[in-house]
Amino acid sequence: MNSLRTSSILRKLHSPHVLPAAGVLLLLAAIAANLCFGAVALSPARLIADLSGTGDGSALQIIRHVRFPRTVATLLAGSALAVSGMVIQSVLGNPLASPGIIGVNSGAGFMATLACAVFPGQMALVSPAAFVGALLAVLLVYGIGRITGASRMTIILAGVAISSILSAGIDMVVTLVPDALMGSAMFRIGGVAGVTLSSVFPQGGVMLAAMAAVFFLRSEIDILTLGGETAQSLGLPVGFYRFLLLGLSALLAGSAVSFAGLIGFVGLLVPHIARRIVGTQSKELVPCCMLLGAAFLTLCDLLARTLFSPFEIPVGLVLSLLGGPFFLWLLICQKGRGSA
Amino acid sequence: MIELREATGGYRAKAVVNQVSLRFVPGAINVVVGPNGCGKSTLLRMAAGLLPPMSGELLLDDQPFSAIGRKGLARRMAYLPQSRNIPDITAKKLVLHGRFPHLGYPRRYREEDMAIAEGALSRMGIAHLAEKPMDTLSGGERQKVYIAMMLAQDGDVLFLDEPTTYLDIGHQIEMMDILSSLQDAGKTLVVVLHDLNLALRYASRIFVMQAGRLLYEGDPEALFASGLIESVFGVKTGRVDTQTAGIHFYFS
Repeated sequence: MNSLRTSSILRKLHSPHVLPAAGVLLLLAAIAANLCFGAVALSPARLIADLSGTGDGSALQIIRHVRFPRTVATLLAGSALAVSGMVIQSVLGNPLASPGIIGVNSGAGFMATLACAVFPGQMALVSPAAFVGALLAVLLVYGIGRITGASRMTIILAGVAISSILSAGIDMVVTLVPDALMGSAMFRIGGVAGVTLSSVFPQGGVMLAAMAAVFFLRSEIDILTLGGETAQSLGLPVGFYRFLLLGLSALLAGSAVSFAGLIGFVGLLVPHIARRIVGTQSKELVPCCMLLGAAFLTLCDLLARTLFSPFEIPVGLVLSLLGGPFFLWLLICQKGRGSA
Repeated sequence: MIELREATGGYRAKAVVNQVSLRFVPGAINVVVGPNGCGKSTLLRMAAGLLPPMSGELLLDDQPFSAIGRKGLARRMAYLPQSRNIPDITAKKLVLHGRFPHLGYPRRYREEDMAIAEGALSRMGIAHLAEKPMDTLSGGERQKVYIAMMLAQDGDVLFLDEPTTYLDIGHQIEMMDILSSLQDAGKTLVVVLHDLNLALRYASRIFVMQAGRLLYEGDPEALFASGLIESVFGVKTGRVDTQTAGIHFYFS
């Protein structure tokens, strides 16, 4: 009875305008809250006073230099990681895959840390290095899956193994070269404190382009989720599109990691919630992942900044505390479906 | 018409099918049988253009597969794998995906594709299931949705890998009758079957494989008379004319 009622509510929400409107409202609320709350709460009145030139300008300063860049960073990283996770899950045909679990994040982190250790001070190298690391990790997992016959469990296990090898690699680099800037705890847990617009800017463009490309390829993604053989018999060059889409998801996750650190769980959590709301068709799923991912990470960052104010905790910590239990709940619900 | 010329194929440099030459008969139910592991599914995947041969030639109407291209092949023939994951979409959306090879770029489904998909569903007698999610359907219903998807794909040749597996006896016979009706509608069918009784009853042309090689090709009556089934499958065969339900074959 209860589930019946829920589904009829969901169906009502499916009417074409309600759902997108709700998503956008949620996102706007998250952005507004993130700009207003923090170590110092900024009331709308103070903001308006600053904007009209009658205030002391401090509210505007805080927003311009601290909260606006942070909000941009969480919006971009959240949506990029969610879309990346969605693509990986669809392409590998595995609902439990995500950038954090199959080693994409740690691959990006390892290469970024390595770049910092070998070329200190060359911040421009960090982003491409993160992308290369993410791509290598995803191709490694995909390759192992193909060689072993691609059972869903094998891919996950291979990903976990690669993930822990790469994490050990990160720790090793940090141990040997303690000056590696990215070795900070903030990077490894994932956080956006101290982000500036200039560190977000170049990757931001890449991420938006990659998300647009994923949305453009939505029909191909839907065909791929039918399974490799069926997709092939429908005339889709399966190998090429798998490679292309995994590359795009590595680009998304790698870019996010380069300025937000090793944020986990967004890529796992958000696609699952999105599927429950809008179903599995990419046409609705991609925008839904973008909206929810952006709003979710922004709200988590708000919690990270305000929970123990004036101290703040890395957003990755908040995410893992919320995401971990969700993942467990997912595992429990999957039990009995027998889809190993 | 599909033709294989000395086709050898398999996985990771290990040949499962060895130098098979054959022509599938157009407008007929071509059935491939053989013991487990004889390479019949591999043969089917190769003939459907899903597995490139290691050597030999594959031809569709005297044109090599490579010259027709993947998309061209997908417009002219469809393939139903034996085991599939159940996609989390409605029956109609799945059938609509059958139109994929006919789409231009970017690939967006048009009104006419929708109409063709609905037509295919009605042709299989499952128009009422259109909006049902695939995972709520029974095995038999799901199989019909997949056949509707192949019809929407609109090719002349349909490849099916053990379409009766996982179905109960009633649905097995229903499935074979569907294949007969598709044959009457002019389609060429190439079917791998496990069940020898169904194979002998429904095939218009039968191919027997053993250990990667084509052992026999001919009509089912002649195969039964030849005694080959005894030696290939290691069983004794017999037949009864039931008067009411046609000729049946049994094995012991």
